[in-house]
Amino acid sequence: MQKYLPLAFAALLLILGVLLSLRIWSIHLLYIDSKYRSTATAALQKVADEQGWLLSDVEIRAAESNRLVITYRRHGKGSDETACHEILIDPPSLTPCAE
Amino acid sequence: MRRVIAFFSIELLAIVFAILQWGIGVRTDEAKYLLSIPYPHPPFLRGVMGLTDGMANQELFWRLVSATLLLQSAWLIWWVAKKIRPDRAVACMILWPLCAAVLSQAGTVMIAVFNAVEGLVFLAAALLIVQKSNIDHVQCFLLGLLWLFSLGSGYQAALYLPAVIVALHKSGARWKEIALYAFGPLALLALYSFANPFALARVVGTAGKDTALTLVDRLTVFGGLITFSGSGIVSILGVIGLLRLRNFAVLGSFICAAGYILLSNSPYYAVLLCPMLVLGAAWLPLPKFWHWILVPLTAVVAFFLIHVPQRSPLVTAMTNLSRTDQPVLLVGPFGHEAQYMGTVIRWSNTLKPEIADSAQSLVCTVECSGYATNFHMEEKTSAKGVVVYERSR
Repeated sequence: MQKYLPLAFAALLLILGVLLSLRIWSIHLLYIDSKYRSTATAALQKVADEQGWLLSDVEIRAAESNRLVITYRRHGKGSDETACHEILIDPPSLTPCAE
Repeated sequence: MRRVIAFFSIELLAIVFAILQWGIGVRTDEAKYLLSIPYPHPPFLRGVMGLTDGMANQELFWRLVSATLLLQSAWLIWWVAKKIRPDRAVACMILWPLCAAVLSQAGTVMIAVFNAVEGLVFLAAALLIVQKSNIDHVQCFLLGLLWLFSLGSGYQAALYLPAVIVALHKSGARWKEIALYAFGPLALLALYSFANPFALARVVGTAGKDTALTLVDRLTVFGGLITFSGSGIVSILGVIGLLRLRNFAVLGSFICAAGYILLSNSPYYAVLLCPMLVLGAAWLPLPKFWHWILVPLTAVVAFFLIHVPQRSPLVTAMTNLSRTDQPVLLVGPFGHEAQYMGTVIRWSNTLKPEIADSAQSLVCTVECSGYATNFHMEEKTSAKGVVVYERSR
């Protein structure tokens, strides 16, 4: 039984690794295209300024050619207000995620 | 009986320091962890802290946990010192809470504190485990899990990699098991960093901050930090002991931590050096009575090195708000402690008017009386550059 422990550990790492890789793939445009990265960052900053958000409350879930899918979570004591939004990159605008 | 008295004495000290830190109030980095704000550190520990943010006394609770873990770690020093120099184990144990970095960080909710304790566990494992010829699968698995949890809690845990490698090697692990248990979690940490662009930006920013500093400037700051870390006395003895000992686990971890501190220059990382310095000091073949002279001397130096941090003026200001459940508009630079004190709206010139209008109060860290007039608010309090305005009734 004990000799399977390395396999169990490897499986745990593999599961976490696959989950993280999927996440990296969903935002890979931010890493490979510097022009897209600067446009997307500017759009995100503009929306955050208009909404009074802190950028640390924003999590980018997906970066697509013309939009960002984000989760906004207002961190505070007790239950946090959380919502999914789409940010159109050009021109920057904010809409709730489609159900 | 003596051990029971020692345990409760240390715990009493932990309670005192937790309450002292609680009185100072929450600071920006602490708020970030208590609310599990997702940067820069991975989520394991801050996630657990975040789950408790509904608790009425969450801050005090985690301060007690932090102080207890850090100060009670003295037992690990005692355990290791007992093996090396049994007649000086108690004196070496007492040196741990007398390190200025340990005393000043006891009761703070900082990831570095938890990483220092985890580092001490790995160092103790590396020094205490007796070399095995056949692999101990359970021991390696447990070390791997703790290493994964440590790295999943804070990037600085990686500085103790040499201790983890030695502990695994002594547990009978061959290179493929060392690669799996020690380097597998590190690879996962790299993946996590790329999956969270804000974390990556912050880590790169921290490593590259103060780039204008010369090597002499960096060494001067580092000298100050290492002196603070071991209250001067333990710092000097620790470094001499480490150089004499030449143990890969302890010296390797010290070099990694020293290199990181040299790059980042952050005072709260001083605690990361303490495990190696105290173990190095324990190794020095000094006559027994010397250790008992060093203990009060270290205590005196620690007393002069420790400074009490100031309460954040923002925390004081926001404590005075009449309604903390209503949105607060913040004008000027502020830290995450504001989020811990209330619901925050960040001011900008392009903020939508309807969102600005939803704020019931205005807190300014820069001159903003014009905004207060526009929003029909009256000044309520003003202290240390932070002014609070509330809606006129």
